[in-house]
Order: sequence, then structure tokens, then C-alpha cells
Amino acid sequence: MSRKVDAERTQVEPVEAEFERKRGVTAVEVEEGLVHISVTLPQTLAQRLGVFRALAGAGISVFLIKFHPDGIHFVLRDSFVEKAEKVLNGLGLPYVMTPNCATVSVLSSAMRDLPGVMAAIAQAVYEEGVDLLETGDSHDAVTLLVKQKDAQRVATALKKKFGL
Amino acid sequence: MGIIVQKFGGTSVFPKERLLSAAQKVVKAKREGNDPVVVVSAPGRKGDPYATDTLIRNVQEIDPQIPVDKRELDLVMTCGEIIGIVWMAQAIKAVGGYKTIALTGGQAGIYTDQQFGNARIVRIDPTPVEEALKAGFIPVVAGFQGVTEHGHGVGHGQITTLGRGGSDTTAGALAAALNAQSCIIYTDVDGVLTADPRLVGAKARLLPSVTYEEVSEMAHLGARVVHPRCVEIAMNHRIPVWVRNAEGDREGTVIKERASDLPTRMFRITGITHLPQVAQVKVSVAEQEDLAEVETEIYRLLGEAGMVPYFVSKSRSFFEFAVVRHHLELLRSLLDGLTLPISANGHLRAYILTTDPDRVIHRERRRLLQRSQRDWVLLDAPIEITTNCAIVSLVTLNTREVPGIMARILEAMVDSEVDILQVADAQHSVSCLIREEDMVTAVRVLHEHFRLDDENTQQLQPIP
Repeated sequence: MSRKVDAERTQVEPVEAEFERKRGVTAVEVEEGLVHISVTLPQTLAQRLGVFRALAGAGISVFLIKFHPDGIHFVLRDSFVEKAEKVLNGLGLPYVMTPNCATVSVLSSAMRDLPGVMAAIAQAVYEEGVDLLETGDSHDAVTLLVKQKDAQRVATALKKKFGL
Repeated sequence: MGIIVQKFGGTSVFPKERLLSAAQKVVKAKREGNDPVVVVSAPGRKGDPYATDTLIRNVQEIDPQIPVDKRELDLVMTCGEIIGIVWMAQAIKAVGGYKTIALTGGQAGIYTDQQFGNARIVRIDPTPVEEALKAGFIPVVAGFQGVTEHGHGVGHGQITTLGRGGSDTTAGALAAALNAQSCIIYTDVDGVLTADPRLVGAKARLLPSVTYEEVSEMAHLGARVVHPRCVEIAMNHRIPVWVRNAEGDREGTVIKERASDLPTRMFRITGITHLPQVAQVKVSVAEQEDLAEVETEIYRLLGEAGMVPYFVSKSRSFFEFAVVRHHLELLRSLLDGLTLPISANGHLRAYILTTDPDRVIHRERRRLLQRSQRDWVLLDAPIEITTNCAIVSLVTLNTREVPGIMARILEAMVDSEVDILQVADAQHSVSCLIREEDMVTAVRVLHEHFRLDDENTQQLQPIP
């Protein structure tokens, strides 16, 4: 295996002679300049639709979307903040905006075939005493939303945890 | 013209008529001037005499109380493919009169690590297959298997299996090792479709071309077309993969581009996938400051038991996740009644996890613990399980930057009164956890709402 390291990403890549990537975590990535928003609203899809429609109408793309009993949470890039504030104020719904956030993503080619990765991630974050604002996962990544000031510390802890 | 790897699944080589039809495709490729290398799975489908599950069951039935050794299980599991290659080699001779040579994974130079049941290919020596080709043979290679090399603790030449999708993986890896011009996966559908035709009928449209990333996303999220391990190998070695119906001569789907090859700031909606038999688990924790520690401990326990939590989410007073439903019994046996001590700010609290706080056993456990550990603060951590869930996913190319995808999904769900329990978004997909009873409706309405039966939908569009 060869190792490529730069400021934002540490990745273990297969060398040409290897036909399959080694199983396990292959990279940790940091994306900064994000804003977390939680909107309080009733637990009906129709109400939630209203928020996503309004954001879409203003050309705002969102991700790391989570449904909670008391509302919806999502993340957007800094560049959309002013527009988003205008939209949410227009809807008249209570919301909390947390600026200066970052995602730290742990990547693997088949995350859902790897028992123990979620535990190792949760343990690393817990040991760092970092406030985890949101967690998302897909088949190839577990994404943690943290305050931007904590992102590099979390990334370092995760790289250490997974031997990257 | 050059080397092409043709992989036939179990249903393409059993019964005899299908085997002969598959052999015809090999013969046709040879007559067109190609050098075919054939990969074969175990003949038949679940329940057939040489299918992998039948071979496993036959051993387990000797005494179900005694677990079968993993090494020996691999030995028996590889028998189906070995029968398959001999049948196919014979069928090619019969149909086309060509010289053939049947090769096990080890004989074909496929070397793996020693993880029985789920081995990883570490090296391929292409020499045996290349020499067979030079000598004018059509090599027929057993899928799903390899052998260990020296230095792997269990000795040289131990037979291993590659795990789920193993024959696809063999095909992709051989194609890469031989620098083949293409790898063709023959299956029982026409190619990669926009959704499962059993759910959306004739509205399922064939995708003529998709990127490696899109098909990998579809495969990971439930589409059973080509295994993602094969796709990843093909992508890393730039081997074009075709997915074609084993019956007929339709062109199928070609996978030969990476998302990064396409013009930037473009997106498209690719298809809808579904994964049934999922359960959602919610654990409530009374003290917010204890949530992270309880969550960490539970994920550790699940990981040690081989379970993978996904669709993870947390709030101030609970965290929730999904697991595949066949893990539920194991999960209950691990968590129901578990007492979890938490030390926080000098206090010792203990959470008693329970699926039913009113059960007598839970009340008694609580009473006895309180009597023996008077300085503990005992708190219930109720576990709620929604047993019958499914995941329905919209697979896309680069939609994270596209405003309105979530709104469009919700429009479809609201109109059809399908409730969404949780969502998970990624670079190339948005997945919804829903009740299983709504799965078919959700797939149909999303397919219709995103107009996936219209060929224009698959055209690349600029990101607004």
C-alpha cells in the first residue's frame, strides 16, 4: 500500500499490483466552512416539505439531513447562509444556526461490511471530549459534524485510531 | 480484438439448455476473433443440487449442533463452481469444437489472504491463463475461489472463497490481471435498470451507460446487478464492464467511465433501489451528558458481535440506528437487560437497557441491583424497535450540489402517504428509511416522480 498525505486528506491507496483494496478505513477527510441548522417544526412530512421546497426555491443545496421528532437538521455551505436566513425567517419557523462547523468523514469502500468502525469512531470522538453536532453515514463513509476548531483534532484522533 | 472475460452466474449455466446457450456466447466471441476467458458460478439457484447453499446445508445437516470449520466449509463451497467449469468446458467443446481447459481459482493463479469465507485477492499470476490462451485453449475458471500463498499461517494452497459476489470479483480481477479489453457479466436481466422490474414493471428502463460510481452505489444500496467489489477492481484498472442478459443478444449496459471523466458541474438521476428487512432501534438515555458514553458502549458491543449500525442519528435524549433484521435476535440478546455503569462527575449511574420496562424480570433486576448497589443511581434506558423497515434510495450522479432533491423526494412521499423515519445522504445517493409495508409504493412513486421511465432523465444536466 502507498500513502498519500495532504492537509485535508490522508488516504491509503492500493498499489497497482494489488487487485483489491485492503478492507477497512481508507481515508479521513475534512471539509470546513459549513453551517449547521436545526429547524423546529411538527413531525409531519408535509411541514418538512415546506422547508425543503423553500430552500430549493432559493437555490440552496443542503446535506447531512436528519429527521428528528422536533424538527429537521441539515448542513449548508457558508456561501448560502444569508439566503437561508432570509428563507427561514420568511417561513416564520424557529431555528438555530451554528456557524463555523466542519465535517470529518471516515471513508471505506464498504463501510456496512465493517463491524466495529462505528464503535471506533464513537470512542475516538468521546475520548477527545468533542461535542458531536451530527452524525451521518452511507455505504462508503461515516461523517461527523463538529465545530471547525475541533475538526483537525478529531481527524488526527481518527487517523491514529485507524492507523492512517 | 483481444481478451474478453465472460462471467456466467448460476442461473445461466443450469439447466442444460441454459448451459448450452451460455456456451454459444463463448463460441460466438471466439469466432469473432476474441480470446474469451470464461468465469463460472455454481450451477443453479437456491435449492438446486449444486448451488452453494445446498452444499453448505448438506454438511450442516450431518449434525446441526456442531459448527462446520470455516476452512472445510470453503472446501465444500467451492465444489459447485468446480462442477460448473467442467460442465461449461464440455459444453463449449460440444457447441463449438474448441479446445477448453477447466481451471480452479488456484490453478488460474488467484492468490488470496487466509480469511476463509471472505478472502481478499492479494495477487494474480496471469501465467496459467495466458499460457492456456497461447496454446489455443479457452480457459474456463471457477469463480468465487482462490488459494493462499506461503506465509499466511495456514500453509500454501489452502482453498478459500471470496464471499458475497465472489464470481463477479473473480471476473473483474482476472480481467484486470490479463489487461482484458472488457469484462462481461451475464445475468438474468437486460443490464442495469432504473429500478427492479418486479416492482415497477415495464417502466424499469435499461441504462445504456453508467459510471463505475453510479453502479457501485446501486449495488451497495440493493440492486443485484454486479457486485461492487468487481466494479471497484474494474474502475481501478480501467476495465470496461458490460452487464448483459444471458438470454438473447441485447447490448446491455456498459460501465467504463468514472464520474471524474464527465464534464464538471453536471448531474443526473440514475435509479431507485430498495433494501428490505431492516430494523430501526432507538435507545433513550435520561441524562444528556451520558448519551455519548452509552452510545459508544453499545456500538462497541454491536461491533464485537459482528453487527454494523447504520442510519445513525442522535438527539438530546436518544440515539437511533438501523440494523439488518436478521441481527435483531442477536441484538436483543446483547442489549435487553444489559446494565451499563456510567461514571460522571463523581456520581455512579447505571443504565438498565430494556425493551419492556414493565416486564417482571426487568423490575426484579432493578430491585436487586438497587439493594446490592445502594450508591448507584439506576435509570432505565428504554429500547424501542421498529421491526419491519426498508431502505429506498435515489441513486444519482453528483446531486449533493443540486438544490431541491430532498424536496422532490418528500413531494413524492407526501402524495403517497409514505412516512420517512430517517434519511441518509451521500455524494451519489439519498436513502430513506421507511416502513417495509410502504417499500413497493415508495419505489414506484419515486420512479414516477423523477420520471425515470423517460430516457431524457438519464441525460447529464448542468447543476443549477
